[in-house]
Amino acid sequence: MKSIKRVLSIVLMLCIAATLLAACGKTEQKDTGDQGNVTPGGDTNTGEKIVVKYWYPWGGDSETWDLWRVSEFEKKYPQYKFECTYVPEGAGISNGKLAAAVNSGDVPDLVVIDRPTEAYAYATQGGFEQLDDVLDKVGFEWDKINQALLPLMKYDGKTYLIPQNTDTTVLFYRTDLFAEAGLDPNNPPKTMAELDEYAKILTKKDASGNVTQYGFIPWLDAGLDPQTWSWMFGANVYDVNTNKVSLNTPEMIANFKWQMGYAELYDPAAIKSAASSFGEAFSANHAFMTGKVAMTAMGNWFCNAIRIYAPDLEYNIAPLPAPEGGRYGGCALNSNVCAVPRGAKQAEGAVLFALFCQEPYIMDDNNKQWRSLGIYPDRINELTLMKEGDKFLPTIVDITFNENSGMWALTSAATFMNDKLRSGLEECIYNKADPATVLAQIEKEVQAAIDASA
Amino acid sequence: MKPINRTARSQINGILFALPWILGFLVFTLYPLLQAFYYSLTKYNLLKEPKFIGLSNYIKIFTDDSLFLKVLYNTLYMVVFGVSISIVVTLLISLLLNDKRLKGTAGFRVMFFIPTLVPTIILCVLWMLIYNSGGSGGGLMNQMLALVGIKGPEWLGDQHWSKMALIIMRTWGAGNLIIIFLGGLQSISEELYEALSIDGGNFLQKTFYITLPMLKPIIVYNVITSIIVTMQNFNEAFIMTKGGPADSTYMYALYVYRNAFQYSNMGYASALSWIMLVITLALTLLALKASGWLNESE
Repeated sequence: MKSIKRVLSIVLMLCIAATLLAACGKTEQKDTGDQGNVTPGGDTNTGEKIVVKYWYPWGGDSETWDLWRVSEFEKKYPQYKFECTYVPEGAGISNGKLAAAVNSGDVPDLVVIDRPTEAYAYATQGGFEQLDDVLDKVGFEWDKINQALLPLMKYDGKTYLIPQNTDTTVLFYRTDLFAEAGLDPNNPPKTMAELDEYAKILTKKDASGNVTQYGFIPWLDAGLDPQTWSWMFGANVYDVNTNKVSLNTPEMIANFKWQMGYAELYDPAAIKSAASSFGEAFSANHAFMTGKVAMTAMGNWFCNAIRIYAPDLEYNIAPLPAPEGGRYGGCALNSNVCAVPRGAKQAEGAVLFALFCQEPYIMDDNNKQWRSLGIYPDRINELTLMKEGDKFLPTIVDITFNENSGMWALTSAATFMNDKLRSGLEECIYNKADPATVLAQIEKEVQAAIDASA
Repeated sequence: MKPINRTARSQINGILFALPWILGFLVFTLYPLLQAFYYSLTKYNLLKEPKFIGLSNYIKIFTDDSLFLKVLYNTLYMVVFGVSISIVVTLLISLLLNDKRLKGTAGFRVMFFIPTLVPTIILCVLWMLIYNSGGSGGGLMNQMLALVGIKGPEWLGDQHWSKMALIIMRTWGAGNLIIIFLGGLQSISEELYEALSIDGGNFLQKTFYITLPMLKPIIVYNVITSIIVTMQNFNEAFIMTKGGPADSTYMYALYVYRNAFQYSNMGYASALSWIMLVITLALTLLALKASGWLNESE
């Protein structure tokens, strides 16, 4: 009896060990279809569904809309079945999940990433499949897309990313608070001097001197992203031809100095502390919706958040202000990009979906929801909101196609550079560090990071 | 076949019972540890094959990394002040809760333990609201301070107070230390206290001559586990402050995470991790040495 127990316990231990080791091993993706048999028209030689594993980065309202888009794709291409997974942090590119998947062999076939410069950096590191062959096969219309997006799509002459849309960053301002403060709601600020003046007028304090309404906070919302104001100041921080970073420039120094001016207008510690309790963009508690901030820089998609959570809000949008010599009228463009991770089995299904996102009725709904524009400029006049004379869309279209709009620095060290710039700005704001010294140090470190990744 | 004697059989059974842990240790601890050391000698971005570069990562950390000393300082600050404060506070609370003259201590024990059951993300959101509710009067903390005439700082927004804000929060959630202290306190024989009472000893004498010496192994255990947990401090900085303001809450573990997963420098992050392991080991040995435990073992 004792020997039976001993044998059983040994078997049990071996089973546990085998299970543990098996869990660490590579798994092969089960293909229920044959990629080679698929045609863009939607026919397949087998009756089985082709499973496309899809990772997306959004929860909440964005997720609901995205899943609707997937269901529409499955209706048009019934041979495909999408397995959708919400993976935060840019569909796993910023938290190691995608790299772990790539290394394990259990790779998603398609990821949509809401951080274009980080996605580009990931492509330079070898994380995505090259898509030129598949794009040629499905007849991608290169000459018809917004040419400003081309640098984002290609690295070293090969295509890795397919943009779904273009998003702009605009100045949201509360027309009711403008009127209350005696400002003309039809005349938003265009220059930094005007913005600063308006910010002062729109700032309110209580009897104790605590700020109850901020006119404007440069480093709030999209302003937290280093590209937003650096771009508006006219900075060109990276030359792709020479692979050189230029951060210690008059434009960047002016940008930092301008933001440091707000540290003197407001107590930066109080802003930081208060900002930790400001609600998320998709919540009724967002500072712009509650009136704690009268003007803010934000993506055009914020119109949808306001429509949902504060439908009666009196506001308007305008191009971001810029200093003389800056890029007034434009902005650093944003885009959600599709990519096929390295080792994916269903690249063609993934690319089909990426292109399906440009179908006129999908883009029309995208535009109605988020005010995003598709990648084909010739379809913009067909948008419902355009025909209906939407209040905001003309401004967004003007900014998107303005000569001052373009892609922010596309480097192999995008996240590192952005973190460094954020941290450097705080060093200037809190410790009154010299912007030129700080930027010179960041330039050196970012250049080293880019050189090391080569 | 020669029969196995009783001692050998007992040893085999012991090993079999420990086998799940041994396998887990080998697969999930020792192997990653050694693998991380190998990666620390390579340039590795998680996507391409690691490329051996010798000690370059270590050399860069010590000679050309402007953040290394800053994150190390922040983390050691949390270890020195955070662990000290939380150990002293939880020990004092435990002494109170162990006092049989006080009524309702069972309810208080539950109250002090409840925060440890709250998920970290909820704890962080809760304390962000306590430090600042977004109103003009600040959060609950500053409103309470205002009642006694103190103008509270901008806890999470002020680089001089942000680390202390995290320490207060961690101390509030250190109910597990209290439970362990209480376990130790209750194992001290009543006869010792009675003997000192007969000799005319007061509360302080009982505490310093009986309680603390008898509780030393428990204190050492709590200090060491707190040091290890604090060295790995990540969640609060990641969720509440993102390392700011002005990098004042940028903790070592957050720096490792960013290098590994956000900057795709797994080799560099592995080198940082190994340095953290050595520092943690050194601090643990220091705590053991200071407690006299190492000498006692000899």
